[in-house]
Amino acid sequence: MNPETPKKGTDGGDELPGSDGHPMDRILRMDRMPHIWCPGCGLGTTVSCFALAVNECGIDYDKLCVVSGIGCTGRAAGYLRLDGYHTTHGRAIPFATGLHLANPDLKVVVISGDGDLSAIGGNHLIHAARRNLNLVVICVNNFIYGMTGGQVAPTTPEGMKATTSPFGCLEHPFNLPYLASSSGATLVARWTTLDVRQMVNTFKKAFMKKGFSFIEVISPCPELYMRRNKLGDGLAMMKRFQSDRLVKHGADPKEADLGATGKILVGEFVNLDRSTYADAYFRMVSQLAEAKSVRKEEAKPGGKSPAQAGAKAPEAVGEPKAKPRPAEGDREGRGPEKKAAGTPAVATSPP
Amino acid sequence: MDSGYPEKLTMQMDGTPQAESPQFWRKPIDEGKAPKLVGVVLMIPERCKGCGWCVEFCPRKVLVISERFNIKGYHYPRVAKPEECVDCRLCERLCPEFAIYLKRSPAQGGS
Repeated sequence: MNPETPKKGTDGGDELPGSDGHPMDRILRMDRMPHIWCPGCGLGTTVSCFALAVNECGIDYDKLCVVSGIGCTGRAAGYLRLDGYHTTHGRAIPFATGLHLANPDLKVVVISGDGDLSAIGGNHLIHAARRNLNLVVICVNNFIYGMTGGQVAPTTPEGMKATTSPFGCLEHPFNLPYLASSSGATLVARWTTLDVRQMVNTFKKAFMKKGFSFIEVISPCPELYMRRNKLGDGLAMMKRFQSDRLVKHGADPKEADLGATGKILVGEFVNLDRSTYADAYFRMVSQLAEAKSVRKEEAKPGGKSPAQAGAKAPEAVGEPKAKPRPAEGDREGRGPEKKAAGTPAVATSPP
Repeated sequence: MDSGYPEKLTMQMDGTPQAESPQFWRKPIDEGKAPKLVGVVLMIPERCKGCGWCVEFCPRKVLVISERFNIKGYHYPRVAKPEECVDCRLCERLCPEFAIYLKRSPAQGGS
């Protein structure tokens, strides 16, 4: 408690803050608070950790963009005082892909839920990981579709009840870290909402990482998942995290299966370096531009192109089957053809 | 599969409390030399939704649930043992409502 200005005296610690207020207030849209998340939900913690990671990392707020889909977690982009986009259901990653490729200097973060990213946007998730786009994907897994009314999600553990499975879910749930890592993600981690310090560190690592980062955050859903299954409130789930989670860095994500009970394997499972899609794309663009400028120079009047054509023509006639498509290769500006175009230019240099 | 981590770095830790697994907790090498930090817990009670996480997971049990209600009708936490706080900021990071935060004690350079 603040000994100088106790506002209410005996209770202690419940005085209103000074002029600076909560340290997260400057990165949150406080005009939209209180948020819609239920008491005992871990989404506020995840957003708090994300905001703290952004502040500690020192990223320019103008160089950071948050994209989210639909659902409880989809509200996160709207509560952060950053450039944010609230996209259609499941399409957060395609939107982020466009944003990233149009402006590769931006750090694009996708914060969305398990239903949004793994069910409706499941294909986008695996293909973004396969392409190794330079994105950070934070998937908050609460085992159910929360906002739409508690339907079964692909992450609902076997046997658990939901509005669309009143006698228990029959399906085996997704193991999201395994899905992401086998699709090619370069940083794969999982934390629960209790591991706030580790979560902040992994977020910071992901912001600096070049490649596709996938972070699963396991969060309680007290109203629709836990109450329907008589598991208690959000605090009960947090106590389960405390007793059941097993930190194992570098573990094989194959082992990270989640059940309704039993151990929850957490940690940073994968951290690799791989060429990103943006690197390959911009390399190709610069190669093509270079080839185009070479062609333009050749096409100038008084340039070397007529002599080149003259020197090339007999060769092409002489061995048509060995080099069947030299002209087309030239047009597309491929590597070997550039070399071929360079050789006659040397041969026809003035004596 | 190759995860990029050497096998030696894998570490296991379960969440059992200190009393039950004393072998895991080691004595800090700078014990007695490093100053003990003192934090000041500040709260914005009208934001609280009474989830109780800060009270449950505070490692020094600084907070307890207050008997008062806030404007939303939830019992918010209050500071029971202010001298116990070591400025670990776990409650600040755990709070889903952005309702609790810490400052370093004025005696240790806090504002």
